[in-house]
Amino acid sequence: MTRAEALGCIPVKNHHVREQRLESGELVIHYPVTARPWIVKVSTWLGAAETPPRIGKLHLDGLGSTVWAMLDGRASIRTIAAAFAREHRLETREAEVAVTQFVRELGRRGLVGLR
Amino acid sequence: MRQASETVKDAGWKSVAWSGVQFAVPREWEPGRIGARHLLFECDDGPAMEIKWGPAGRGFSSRRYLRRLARRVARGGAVFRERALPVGGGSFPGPVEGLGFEWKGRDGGAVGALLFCPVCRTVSLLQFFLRASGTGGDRQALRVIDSFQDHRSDGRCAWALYDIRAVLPVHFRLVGHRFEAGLFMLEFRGRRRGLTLYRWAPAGVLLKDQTMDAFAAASAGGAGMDFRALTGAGRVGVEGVDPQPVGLAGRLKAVLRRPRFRGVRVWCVGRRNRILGVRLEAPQPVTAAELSELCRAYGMDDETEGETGVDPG
Repeated sequence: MTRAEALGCIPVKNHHVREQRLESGELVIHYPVTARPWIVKVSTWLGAAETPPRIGKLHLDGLGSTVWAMLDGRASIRTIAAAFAREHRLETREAEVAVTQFVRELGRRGLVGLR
Repeated sequence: MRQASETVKDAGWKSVAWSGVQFAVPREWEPGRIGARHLLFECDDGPAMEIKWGPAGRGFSSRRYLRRLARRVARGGAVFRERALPVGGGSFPGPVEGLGFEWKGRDGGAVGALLFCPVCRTVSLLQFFLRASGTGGDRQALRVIDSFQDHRSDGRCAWALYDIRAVLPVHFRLVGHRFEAGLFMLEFRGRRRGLTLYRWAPAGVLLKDQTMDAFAAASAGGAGMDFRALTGAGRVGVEGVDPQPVGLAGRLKAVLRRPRFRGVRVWCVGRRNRILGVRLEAPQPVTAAELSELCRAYGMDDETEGETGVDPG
């Protein structure tokens, strides 16, 4: 995948996440954390009852909250980065790196997918 | 080599300076890889240009070097040939000896130039990769080569990447760098001094919940220092210096501990939403004059030397 193609991807939020806005304006994201398949297999084999997924929390700072709010399922990473760069008067490339790293981290936690 | 202007005043181009070399590149090219004597620029299509440089050994021959390069390229299955590069006026600028070349392989190719400056004995290899869009090509290569210089005549070395620019005395050698989103840091050593240049962004967010003093103490290595406010050139900043040890006991302790005295200055460039900082460490207490000189030499890419820094108020 080229850089241009990667920046053209559209991040889409996981439907199962719940947002909580704090008084400071920052966001806390609540998301389900499922156990790894091998842990589920081992605990089932040991006779443990099936447990519902636990809820993870991710506290986003001001910048993270701004980017999260821009994830509307229509805007590409490039568009989000450009808006982020405009808002904070950043270099385009710097904003792209920041937004890409942030989206990657969200993806690692299963909070967003890319299409 | 040809004297290029300090900053490129062209909307579509920007100045780059790194470890002795200086040239202009199209504004959309961004550094993808940064090494001590190596830069790779990328654009949306992928790699756009690569440059490597270093001191030429005794008995250096451009032609021999190019033959070696040709063999290396041929091992990768590509076809290599020498060619004339379209340089301004038909020849390479100044006393520079230059050879042009191109190579083409299955997965791509490049046109390039090998430049050797007999004055500073620096050899530089520039490659411009063939891109899918085919935009620019030789015209861009020509302009980059035309703007290229590998030494200055004022005993200083320029550093300009992304949105920062510094022109430092040559005795400051780069020992480390970081270009991360929100934080740029360049570390230099020279003449028993350590110099660190910082650039943070966005200033509005970083200074929202803390004072400049607290920020400088936490982020610019100014912990334990007393900062005083500075104003100048319409900017606000802070400065802190470690004091001279007092009394016999203080001096003895200083001798035994071989202290590093710090001088830290941090200022906000409001119109660009950036914070710049300079930290100097030296075996003797840092003077305001020395700190001011370094701060004047460091600034944003669109500032001239007179506009940079923040003067004591």
